[in-house]
Amino acid sequence: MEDKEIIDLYWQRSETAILETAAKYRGYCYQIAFHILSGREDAEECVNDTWLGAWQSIPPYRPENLSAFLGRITRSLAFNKVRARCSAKRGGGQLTLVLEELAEVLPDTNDVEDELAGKELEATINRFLKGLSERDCNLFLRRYWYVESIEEIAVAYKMKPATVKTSLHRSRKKLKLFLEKEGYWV
Amino acid sequence: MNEKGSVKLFFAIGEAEEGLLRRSEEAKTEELKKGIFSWVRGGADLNKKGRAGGFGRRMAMATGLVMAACVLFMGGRMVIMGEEDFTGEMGVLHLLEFCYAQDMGDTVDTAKEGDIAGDSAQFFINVDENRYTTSVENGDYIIRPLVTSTASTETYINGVENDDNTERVERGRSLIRVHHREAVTIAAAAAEKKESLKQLYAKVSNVTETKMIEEGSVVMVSAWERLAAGPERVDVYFVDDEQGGVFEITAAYYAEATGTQGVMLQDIISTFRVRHETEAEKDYSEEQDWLGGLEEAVGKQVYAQLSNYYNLEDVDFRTLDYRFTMDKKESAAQEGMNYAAEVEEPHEAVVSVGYVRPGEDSLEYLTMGFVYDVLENGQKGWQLTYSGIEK
Repeated sequence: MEDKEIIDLYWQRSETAILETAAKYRGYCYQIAFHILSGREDAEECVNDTWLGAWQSIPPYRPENLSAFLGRITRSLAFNKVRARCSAKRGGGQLTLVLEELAEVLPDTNDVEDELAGKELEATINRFLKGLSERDCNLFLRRYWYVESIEEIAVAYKMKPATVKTSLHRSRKKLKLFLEKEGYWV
Repeated sequence: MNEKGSVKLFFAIGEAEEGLLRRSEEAKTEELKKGIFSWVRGGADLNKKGRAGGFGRRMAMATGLVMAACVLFMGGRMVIMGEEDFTGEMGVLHLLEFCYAQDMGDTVDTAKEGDIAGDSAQFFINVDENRYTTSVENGDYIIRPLVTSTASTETYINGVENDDNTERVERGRSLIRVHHREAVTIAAAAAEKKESLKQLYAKVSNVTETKMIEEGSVVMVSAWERLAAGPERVDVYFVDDEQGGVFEITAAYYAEATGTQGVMLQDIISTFRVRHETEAEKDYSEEQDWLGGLEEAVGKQVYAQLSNYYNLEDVDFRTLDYRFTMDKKESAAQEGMNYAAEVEEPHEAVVSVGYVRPGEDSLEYLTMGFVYDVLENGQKGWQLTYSGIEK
């Protein structure tokens, strides 16, 4: 079924929308959840929560890209699960590594608390991503959006893990410089 | 850990434009499809070996499983995952980097993206990123010392600050330049260079053979006492690219730094070597070997574990998770220098196959642990250490 038809089902409040969404995007969302959560049961649960999140958001929201919309919900839910798990000291898997890698890029002393500043940061990140080469942008998103492991990215893009790591390292350095220029480092 | 900033950044990245996400997904899918074809091909090989060994049916079934899984993936339901657990320090590559030089045909824009290329690399050279920066400018690969002081515009002569501007050398001007020329012999390239250097330098050496680079025949020419402003001395090395062309490697530095900066640049140049086509293929095939070997081992185990109970053609295979543990090892070290190349080799793999039995609707998982070790035949391969079915 086309995404537009699925979204129409949500707007009609037809529960078939969830079945169709699950049939089409279960694997995609499961993959995102699994990378962040590193656990099958938690990932399954997170994916089921994603359908609920979509059900609660559509309407009034009408996503232009259903897969990205669902992916964002999954990513956010999985993140919250890991945070809860970390507070219970059960480990954070790839997400912990990803956050450690990102920690060098933006200082926590920076005040981007309010929503406006958050939106500006999002716009800045998008400008930065568009300035990267296609390859580096893809690798960056696989690591920091999809929270995929270095090894998996290397296999998926037919690259050496060392090359992936180097590209990510350089992209982080560039992002840090970019954010400095934009005034995010005090 | 700078958690607050990283979390904000994580969520800001989460708002990346959908077009960019789609592009990364599509690029990945394309590469995975290629991987799947190689997997199917591996399955075909299995089948062939099976007939020879009298296990035709068994192997044919294993191939069938592989193909079924592929079809499932194409339908968007197969999940391939991996997780690394490197034994080495994650950041070590950033400090001591075995540098794959960028394809010389790349543009200046690409240079900004970094000098690390994979399959298109034409040569290797070791660069310590603590001390040098690398870039590609006008098709040439450039290595420059990091300028750590504000003295980049100070004028020096013979190491002493100089008010007389007639013979000045700017700091930060020293560099290594790797330039590639096609369709020329090293003798002709060196002779041409010698003539051009005579226009710029008061003194130019004869072309001589050198063993500084252990890469076939190499000649060099030096020049010093530059007539115009710029590095006072250049040493130019010519290396046969074995494809009818020449790599021209220039070390340029100020004369009073011959014993310091000059030696350091020479140390870097001494690590230069041409990357041979067969070498690139070997790197790739080694990587494919262990991955293909794992796929083969998984196919065999899935057949062995499940075929007694079900007709595998009726089993609905859903997910395939790979988790690797990689070992990081130093493979080479340059004498007298703290440079090291690193290789990664799989150590362990945990593979989980998710499937739905005929007539059931819940997933079961067959999880298998493998270790990559020397097998009885003396070859490295995957050995099953444990397996189990989880409902």
